Amino acid sequence: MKILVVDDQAANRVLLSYLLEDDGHEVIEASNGEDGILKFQRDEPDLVLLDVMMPGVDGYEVARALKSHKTRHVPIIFLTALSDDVSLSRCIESGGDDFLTKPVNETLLAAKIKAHERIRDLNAELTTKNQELEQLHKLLRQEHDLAEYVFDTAIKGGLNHSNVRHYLSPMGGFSGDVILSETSGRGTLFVLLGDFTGHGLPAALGALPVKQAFTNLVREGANVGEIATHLNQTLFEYLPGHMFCAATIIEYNPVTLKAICWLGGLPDMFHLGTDGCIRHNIRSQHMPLGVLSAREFRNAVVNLQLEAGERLFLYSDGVTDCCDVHGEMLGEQRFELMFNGSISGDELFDSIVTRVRSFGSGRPQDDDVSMLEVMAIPGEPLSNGYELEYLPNDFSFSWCLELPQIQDNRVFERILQSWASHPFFQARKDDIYEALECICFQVLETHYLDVDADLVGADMNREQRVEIRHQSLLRATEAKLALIISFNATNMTLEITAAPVAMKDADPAALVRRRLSF
Amino acid sequence: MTVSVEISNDVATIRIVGSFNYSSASEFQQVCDSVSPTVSRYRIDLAQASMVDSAALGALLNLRRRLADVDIDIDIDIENPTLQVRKILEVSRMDKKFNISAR
Repeated sequence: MKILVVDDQAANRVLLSYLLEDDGHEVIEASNGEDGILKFQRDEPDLVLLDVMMPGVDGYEVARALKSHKTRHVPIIFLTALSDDVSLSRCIESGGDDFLTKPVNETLLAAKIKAHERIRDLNAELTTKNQELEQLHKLLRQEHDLAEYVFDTAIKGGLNHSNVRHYLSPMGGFSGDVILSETSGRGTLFVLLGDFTGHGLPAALGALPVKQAFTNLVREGANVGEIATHLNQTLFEYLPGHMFCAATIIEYNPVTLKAICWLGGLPDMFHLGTDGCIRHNIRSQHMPLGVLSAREFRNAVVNLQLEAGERLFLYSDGVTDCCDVHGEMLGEQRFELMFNGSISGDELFDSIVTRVRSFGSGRPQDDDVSMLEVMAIPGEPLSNGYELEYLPNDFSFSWCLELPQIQDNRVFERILQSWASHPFFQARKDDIYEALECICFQVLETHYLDVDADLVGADMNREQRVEIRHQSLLRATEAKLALIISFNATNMTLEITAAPVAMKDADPAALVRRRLSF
Repeated sequence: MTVSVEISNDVATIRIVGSFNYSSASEFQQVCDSVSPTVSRYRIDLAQASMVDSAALGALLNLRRRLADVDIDIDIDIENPTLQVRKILEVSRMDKKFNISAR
């Protein structure tokens, strides 16, 4: 160690130097207080042996000056002839770490130096660890801030529809509950309320892919069932086995006031009457998103017809699980009683939020809490806000479809994929698909297929008719179909024409045509 | 809360006492890991489980998924849930993946 000896007596310095150098230390000598302070700064010793009584600046003052340089821990051991309690305590008060009485005992000196060396090493280690910890904490903070920024910009926003109200209160900085809304090209409104397993950052992570996929799917014209299927698949692949997302997805049509809902794992959705009372509880029918494989997943939806002024109310279980001061949970029963008709209309949502918050106000929140209301207000189709920068030009495509191409039940999907990627057509994807399917089958049934007329009942739904057609298609031995799709940008119409090919008695009457106006 | 396991005749009975939540889900996981892969049936006894949260459902689903991953067709029975717990299991349609039997 490098040791600074400050003493005005040359004899003392010589003796100490002799003892210390013998033990392998390097010694710097200073003959008075000023010199000591100077050499302390210049030579950066590891330990200081300091005489108390010196002319000029005395030992106490030197100790105070040295300790004011707080860059690292340097032990100061006072050397004193005084042994009364007052003097000794002054040594410690002025910043000394220890003291030795003169004349110095060699063994005691070596022992004290050894002990302070250990303390110094411990101190150095602690300082390094602290610096590392501080650095890590800073890094963590930065990463957390960055993540929070990305989440805020990615998840929030886009919820300013006049007929949607929402309340989202995360337990911490990140929310494991997610509320999304998006307007489709059909003029309908899509909303999603999701609750990921757990809370905080891990739970919030899943929200990013959900938001991305949800936005894209709605813009591409997907329906509720397709969105549920896709989100389930994304989360199934993306999340570990113990994580999932309980969610409800709704498509609300402001013209017909119909709502199409997929419900997976959230508490009951309420269908509220105009009086603010619960008309129906709509129970979840599916497992949450991300649990079932594509093979097991079902995307069946619930169709609801709303009346003007009625509402759909959704919430995450953080609402009913919140506890009052006594640790008692709010519970579903008590929550449903809040919808007792005493408050209705536009005040209802805020009033429910206030009552839930005041119930849980006595205790810290221990889960994310979210609520969402969609109100049926008759109106125009909604504008989706993204302007079409260009409209498609005139075009015309034709296909010649043969067996077994036609037997593949995804043939129409492929035809659509090949030209209808423009959002203009995506918005009407379902209509175009149905028209395509309908006229092609009309031609096939008239000319090639042997469809048992008795099987096709008038009361059949579309799926059943399609199934019968496919059954007969599989038995077909020949079929050839010309399909022409053309778009006229001037009068904004899409024309789909189908005709049998190479029939001996081909005649214009065999043509089947349908026009879609935009 | 405690998680205990008892194995007899190739049947592992896992009993959960108290609140089956986030903190006990990892204990449940450890208990499941300790069960030999040769058992042919799991019985999860929830008679004394006062409540379950989503992390607990996650732990149950994780067990299901891990058994499916190694391609073992094993029955997992959830037995004796209280009314409140049963409702939570119903809302999340756990009956699609587990046999749930009432007390």
